[in-house]
Amino acid sequence: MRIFFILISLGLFFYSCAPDLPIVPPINSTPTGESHPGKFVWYDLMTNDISSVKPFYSELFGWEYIETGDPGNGYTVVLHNGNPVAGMFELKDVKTEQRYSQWISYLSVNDMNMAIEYTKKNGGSIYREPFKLPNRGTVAFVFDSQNAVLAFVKSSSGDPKDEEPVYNEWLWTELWSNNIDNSLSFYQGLCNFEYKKFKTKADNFYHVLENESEPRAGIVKIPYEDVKPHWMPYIAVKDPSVVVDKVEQLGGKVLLGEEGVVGNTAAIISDPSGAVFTVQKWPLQKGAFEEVIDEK
Amino acid sequence: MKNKIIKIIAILFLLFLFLVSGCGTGHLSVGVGVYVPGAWGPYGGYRPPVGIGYPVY
Repeated sequence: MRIFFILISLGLFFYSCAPDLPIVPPINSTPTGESHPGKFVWYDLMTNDISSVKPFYSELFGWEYIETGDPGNGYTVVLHNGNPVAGMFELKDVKTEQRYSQWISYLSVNDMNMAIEYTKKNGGSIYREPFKLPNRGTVAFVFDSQNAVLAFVKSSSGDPKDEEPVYNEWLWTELWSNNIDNSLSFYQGLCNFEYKKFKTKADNFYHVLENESEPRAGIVKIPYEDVKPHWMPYIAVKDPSVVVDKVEQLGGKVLLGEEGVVGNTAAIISDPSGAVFTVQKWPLQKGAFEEVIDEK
Repeated sequence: MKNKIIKIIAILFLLFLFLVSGCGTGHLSVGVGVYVPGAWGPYGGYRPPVGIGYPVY
């Protein structure tokens, strides 16, 4: 009998070292009951320097923060106007030479297992198989067919409603790809997107993925040799130039100023840890995209 | 005989707790790795204009 109690005690001791998952907020504070597979519904910043990026985003966008979890396995909830709009967590489990900070865009999927199987069979790969993340739902981290990182999520609080953008919050998400046909095929097959193609005033083509009569994401061919495939999140602002003027003094970099973007309505910025995002003026005037070339 | 059964039950219970606790696998993290370094390179020179961004049409 004594051995029995010793073994049970040992068991309970080891049970107490169960792996901790970070405490994250639901994607919607109030469940929406809506499902919009193909919509980007959440953004997390994976960074190697949370302490330096927090004041950067606070100064630019008025974001505030709540820390959750243990210091070594924590999660920073980003609040804007009191509402959770994003998260931040420490970059880890990555070889030093492969580390870099970046925003991870979360794509809503209708069937996680199907999305994972589709990704494996169509040129993508899985970094982390689906797992249950309390409050958020089922999450997986994947590489698409062009090796861009993104997350799939089946949200336990439903997907956000389609609403007008809010200043200093998310506006848009765009894939920078080296192979447009390959990327279009991958995402159309994944989420049954419709597709529109535009020619811009910079003579490049811009591709829009739509479903439910809503534009969901853009795809552009990478125009610069030093840029690798990635998903670029956009933040809506009243005046990009006001943001750009503050970036360098806050420790960030302006990678492409307004003069480099057709219509002068956006600027590409990296935060102090190197994570890249774009600010875009809202609302926009028509005209940056000259004409519809074709529609499939 | 009774003690033997108790021991077996206790060992099985212990193994079960090991299994569900994940001990030996380390902390789980949500970090993502095994991908190429930096999406944007260090180049800081002129970049020709490009049409990007939320489309209004």
